[in-house]
Amino acid sequence: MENLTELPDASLSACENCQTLNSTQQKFCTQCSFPIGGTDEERQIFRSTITSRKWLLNEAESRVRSAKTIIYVLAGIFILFGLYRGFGQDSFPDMVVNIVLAIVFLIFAAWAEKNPFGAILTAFILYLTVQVVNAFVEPSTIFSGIILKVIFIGAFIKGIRSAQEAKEYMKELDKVKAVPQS
Amino acid sequence: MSIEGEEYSEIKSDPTCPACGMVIKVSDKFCGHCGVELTGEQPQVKEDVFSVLGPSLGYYFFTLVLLAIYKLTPIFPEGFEGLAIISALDVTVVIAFFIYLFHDMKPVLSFKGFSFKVALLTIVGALLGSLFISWFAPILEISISDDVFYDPYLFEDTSHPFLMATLFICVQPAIFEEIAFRGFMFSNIAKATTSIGAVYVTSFVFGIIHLSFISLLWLVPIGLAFAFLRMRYNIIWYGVIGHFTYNFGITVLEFLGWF
Repeated sequence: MENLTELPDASLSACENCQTLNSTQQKFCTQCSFPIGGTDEERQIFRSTITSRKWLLNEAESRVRSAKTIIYVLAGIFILFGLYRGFGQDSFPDMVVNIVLAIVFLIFAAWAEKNPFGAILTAFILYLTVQVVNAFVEPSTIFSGIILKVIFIGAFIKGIRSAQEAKEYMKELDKVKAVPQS
Repeated sequence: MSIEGEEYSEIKSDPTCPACGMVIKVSDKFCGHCGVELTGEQPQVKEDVFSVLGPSLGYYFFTLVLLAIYKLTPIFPEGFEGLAIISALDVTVVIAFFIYLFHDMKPVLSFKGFSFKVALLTIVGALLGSLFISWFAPILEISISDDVFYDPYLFEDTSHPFLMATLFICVQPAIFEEIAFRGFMFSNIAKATTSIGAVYVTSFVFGIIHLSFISLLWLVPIGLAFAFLRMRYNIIWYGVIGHFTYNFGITVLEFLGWF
């Protein structure tokens, strides 16, 4: 609104992208860089950049959700395995360890709502640590369920990378005043 | 005059766009004439997050495998000899990463702004913590020595058991674990996420690398305390002091056989 006092004579127009009032002499919106005085093609490029960023953001967020799902799945696996060790094989300490691990994974899943990057990274490190310890304690377990392990590790790596990318896309969209409502 | 008027009065002449030289307003985020971004923030070269985290993950998993070999296999000699070897290896690894990441380490090693008051409070907190854990751990029916890498018996055959225990249990971890977890790992992870995110991540991995299940209960909170001190004051010295005091408290109580 300060534009009114600064530019009393200039005519103003609202930016189509963010509704900021700009002087019509300007070629770009001063708040979101939309080419208000540009050609149709330039405007089209601006719009499609936003669309593609939104699409990339969605893709990244869906990979983050997959990683979160993996954390829940791991919690479930540890609970089931713990119960099996406890009640099926009478190994009470193993049951406690597995159930506590499951609870830790659930805590990470909850933390992922606030800081997906930190939570998925820490869950990934914990998962690999459990695998390393298992490999030393019981070398025969290295190859058991290897396909699942590869899937989990892949989903973790993609999730960590995507959590970071999603933050970048959000920042870029925020700059051009096009943060998607979620 | 609007509030912005005050802002303008400080700047004698109208600001101009650094790219095209046309007149712009302070509140502009982009130049209205050439579209260039005015926030002064240069678009960063995007680096893959795993190449950013490489040093942290490298240090963590290398050390994890070393400690797993020490703790879970019979490869290392028993007793003090094995402890001396694993400690030497651990220190070597930390020093290697320290040199490699010295650029990140330099600021956190500074003594600028060091406050004796904060140091004293850290010492008091660490002493209370060691008293509490020495009392609390036996209640869980586990001895603390089962849960850290060291046992007082390891030092019985040495010429100076208490001195050796102090060196290997208190001095070495206080310096080298702090350099690693609150030093380069913290700086490294903070590059990829927020400082508070780095506090949580480093505290948890500090807990699990000890490869002892029950002690996660106190190792993670201890890590959190030191990591918060690191975040708040941007130096590792309070963590070093607190870590030494805490471990020394535990060692003294263990030698006195109080709990």
